[in-house]
Amino acid sequence: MNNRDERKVLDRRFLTAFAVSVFLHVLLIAVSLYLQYLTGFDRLQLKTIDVSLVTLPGPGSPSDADMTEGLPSVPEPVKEPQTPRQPPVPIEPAKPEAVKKVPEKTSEKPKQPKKSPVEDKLKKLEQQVRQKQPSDFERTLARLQQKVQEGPPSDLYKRSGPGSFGLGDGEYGAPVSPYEKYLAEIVMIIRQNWSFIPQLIGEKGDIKAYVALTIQPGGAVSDITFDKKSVSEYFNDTAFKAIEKSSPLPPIPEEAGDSARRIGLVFTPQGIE
Amino acid sequence: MFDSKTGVLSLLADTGPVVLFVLVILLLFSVLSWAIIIMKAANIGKARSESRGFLDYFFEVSNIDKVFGETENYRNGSLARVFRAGYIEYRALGDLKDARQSEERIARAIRREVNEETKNLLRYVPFLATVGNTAPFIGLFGTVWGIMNSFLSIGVTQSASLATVAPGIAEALVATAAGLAAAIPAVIAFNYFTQQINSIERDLEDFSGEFVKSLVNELG
Repeated sequence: MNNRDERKVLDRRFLTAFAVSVFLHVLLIAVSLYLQYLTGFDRLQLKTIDVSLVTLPGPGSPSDADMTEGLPSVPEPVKEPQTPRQPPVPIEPAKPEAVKKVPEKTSEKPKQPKKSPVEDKLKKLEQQVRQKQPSDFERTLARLQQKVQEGPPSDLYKRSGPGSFGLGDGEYGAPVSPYEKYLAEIVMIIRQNWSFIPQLIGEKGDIKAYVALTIQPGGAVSDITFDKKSVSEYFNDTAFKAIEKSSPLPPIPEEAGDSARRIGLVFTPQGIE
Repeated sequence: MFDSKTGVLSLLADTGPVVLFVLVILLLFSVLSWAIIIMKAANIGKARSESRGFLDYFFEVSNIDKVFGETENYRNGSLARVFRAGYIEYRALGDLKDARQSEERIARAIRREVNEETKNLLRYVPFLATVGNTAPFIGLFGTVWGIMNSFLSIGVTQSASLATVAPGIAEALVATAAGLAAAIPAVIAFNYFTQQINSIERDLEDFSGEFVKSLVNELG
């Protein structure tokens, strides 16, 4: 009887110690979570929204504010398209004058007649090159063309409503359809399930992965394909896993119809477009 | 929840079921071993300090009845409990006049109590040794499994770059870290407790003879 009581006391002590131990472990996990939150918070602040000129959003998109900064640079040159062509015209008449003046000032007169036809041709070539040098407008145009060429491999990646997903309704008052809201929602879900370590990508230049996927009316994801892979296999892999992990997504809203939808997502280190 | 995915806990989010299972086992091991460490540290500490106090009192007072009365204040002291067992046997002898037989019975009762006391002190301690020995291997198993999967993913992505391999290995190594985190305190505590219990055991064996002698003297 005495031994039994002692054992009971021992068991009670063990249970108390067990409770203390569980509490300590929970506390340790909570502290490590909190510390991680603290270290992760700064990174959260640094996150920026990637606005691509290629996937120009429609009016009312959240990224319109950023876009308007870029827009004036395009129409300005359009208003005065002749200005870039004008400079070459005055250059030609001006140059001969300068050529005439130069020999007057120089004391070595015999050198002027010595100018060979090759030199003249060289000068003409230089002038031609100068004339051919693109203006700011032409450069911007070329850059835009290049971006369009580099752009999304299919229409899946073009948005009529919100351009860069996820930050709510547009500023310009355009109504956001339920389907667009749904798209923003699923992008948020995929983003939450997307885990990659930016440091592991390194500086590999422009990293963008174009992923197409089919969403069934019930929300199940199928047929995930890469329309265009990024240079980093690791990056592609994480993007693929994020989509797989997010399945099933919420069902497609009834307003958007009851058929499966195929959408395209652009994964960049800054986020999902 | 977090945008930065560099923390240890965020690494766990991508681990496979086997590695997660290993981590849960290791967490359970850790919780149990810490529970034992807390309990045993209290028990052994009390047993030692109260035994020391009782021993001082025992040599101070020559009357064993008085000493027996004092044992109530040293309920956790191992020496006091052994003495108590011997005294109860001594009282149970009654009118037995044979000194040799009485001594044997008292000695037997004391030996039984010493064994019981040692058993109580050692209870749960071997689990610490088990955790200390097996936790690193369990963690290693999780790591090997995780690295295996990581290499399989190399085959899938057909890229052996560090960027492909490193995250999987980092996830897998969490299991080894968890195994070591569970094993190290368990091994330290096991060695400490074993040494303390051995010391108490030696005290019990040394002083049980003294107790028998004092009780037999009372008979005479």
